[in-house]
Amino acid sequence: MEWIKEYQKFKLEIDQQSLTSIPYRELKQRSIFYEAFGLKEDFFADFSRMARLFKSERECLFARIFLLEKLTKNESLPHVTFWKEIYETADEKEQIALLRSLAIIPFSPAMIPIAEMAVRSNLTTVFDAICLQNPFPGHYFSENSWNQMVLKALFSERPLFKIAQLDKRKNQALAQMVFDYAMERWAAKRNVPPELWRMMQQEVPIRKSITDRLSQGSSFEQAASQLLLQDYQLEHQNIYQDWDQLGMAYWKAKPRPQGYQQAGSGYHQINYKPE
Amino acid sequence: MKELYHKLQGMRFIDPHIHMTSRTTDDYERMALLGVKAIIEPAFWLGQPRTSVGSFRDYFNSLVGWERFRASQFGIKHYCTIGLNAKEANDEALAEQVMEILPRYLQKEGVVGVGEIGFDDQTALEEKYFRLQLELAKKYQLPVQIHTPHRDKKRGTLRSMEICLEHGLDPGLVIIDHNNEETIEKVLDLGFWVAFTIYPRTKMGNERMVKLVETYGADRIIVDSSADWGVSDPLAVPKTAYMMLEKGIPMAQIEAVTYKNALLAYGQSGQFEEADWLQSQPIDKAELYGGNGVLRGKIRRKNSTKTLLSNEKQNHEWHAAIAPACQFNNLFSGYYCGFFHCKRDYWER
Repeated sequence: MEWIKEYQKFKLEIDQQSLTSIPYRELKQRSIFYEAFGLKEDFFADFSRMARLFKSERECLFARIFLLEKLTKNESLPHVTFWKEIYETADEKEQIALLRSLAIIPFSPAMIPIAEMAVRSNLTTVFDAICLQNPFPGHYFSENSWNQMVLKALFSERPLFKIAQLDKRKNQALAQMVFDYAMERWAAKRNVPPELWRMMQQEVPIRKSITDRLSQGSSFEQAASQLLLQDYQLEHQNIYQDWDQLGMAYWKAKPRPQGYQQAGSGYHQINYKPE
Repeated sequence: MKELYHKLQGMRFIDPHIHMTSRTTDDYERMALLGVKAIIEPAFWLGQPRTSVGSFRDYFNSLVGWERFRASQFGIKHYCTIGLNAKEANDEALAEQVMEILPRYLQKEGVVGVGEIGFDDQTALEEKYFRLQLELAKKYQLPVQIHTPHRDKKRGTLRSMEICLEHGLDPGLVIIDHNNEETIEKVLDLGFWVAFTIYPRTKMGNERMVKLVETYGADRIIVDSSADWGVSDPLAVPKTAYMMLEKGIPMAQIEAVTYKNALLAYGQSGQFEEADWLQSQPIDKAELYGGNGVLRGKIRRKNSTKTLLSNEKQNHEWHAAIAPACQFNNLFSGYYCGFFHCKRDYWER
């Protein structure tokens, strides 16, 4: 995952930059402190203060992950209470950093409830931090939590191809839920993202009427119908090599959603746009 | 509304005191429409006293989390001040617990001051926690937003200012709110910022406000709405600007009281910069989709003139399709709402 590589690069930079740059130097000092002494009340303040030290959002995110990583190296850390305490008092960007750090820090079972709480978040940015480009859910979520996350990603129009281990964790229950969701949308004369069909599985029979309808739809839907036929090992003719390519092309071509977006509304139906 | 919109075109406003937690998305929509770019939401009480520190924690969390996100969806930058309000300071056991959690929130991103604090009944407990919070403001070098009492206002305002000076606070870092004709002179004399709340029924009315600016000028004067769960007007700031325009107040003065002074006063926190809302692309989640844009940098403008023009064309087509359902049609009956959006794109460019 790109961002993890970038984070590793950031970590390497800390040693070099800390000689010249004040924020880097301070970050290094604080992290050494937490690594040695574990959680102190000051940690929450330092965690927040990263936003004042680092002007760029990306650096600030990485700095927070770095602090968390160093802190959790200290064995005396009370894991369960720690994760709960820090998640519950974090602001939007702090929550994002915390969720991203789950991909970096060695696993502890106490992290799972936090990740599941984040999936329930109403803030799209927070939901994205756990759902997209984050290996944690793929590794540690139960089937039910996983399915709810994927369904919510579809529901709030997130790019599915960015979910790690999406194909590996396909299951029949999810296929059925996703299929029902598609039927519900079609019944309401709403469109269905082409990536949805990626979640189908052989156990859910797919009627000819569905592939027919798809092959008459947009170019993306036509491509989806072909990939779907391929998944079901039926006769097909591919436009895109795989679902990732279709996903990427679809989200690239999609007009920018703007303004207030309510989960499940589908931005084609949004009827106002203040800016 | 139509007239307001046309008259105020191209103007920018800051509402430095508004309790959005108690307002609806309709309010956000109309505020964005009239050019409100940034708002500050002071921590206040919720109309009835809270009974546990957990409620305070959740409230502060919503100020730095959900409310911020909600505002961003309408292209409005949301900031807040954090503090223990005067009314609830009278519950000593609870107040002690709240004081313990305040430092954690005061150091968060986008927290631009300690507020709103001060007097309500002017009791000994109110004074105790007011003083303690002034010390916090000093410690974290944050501006202070002071709520002056409804009853016995003149004495309460004076007392608040005396206490601030006693604690060695720089008056330039203290905003005294809810002033009126009786208090303005003293507050200006002592060098504090003077804020006025424009309320439809109580506090200050638009016309009185215009007169005050005519008399005292625009220096260190700030207009806000303090809109909350009571009868109040989230559009008070743009409406006051409109009335000032009508009465022939110079543009520079209008801009000062409805935008620049708030920026200067709260900008001293280091957390409140014009660049935050001028440079960031409003409500743009598009970068989440392309490449690895989840971790996007702060200052990046993506829209070229070319894409804006094509957006504009899309807007037209898109609005033609959904025009019957468009909520803006209610605001501009008879106006094709696509008109507005296109105009807005021009401004952004």
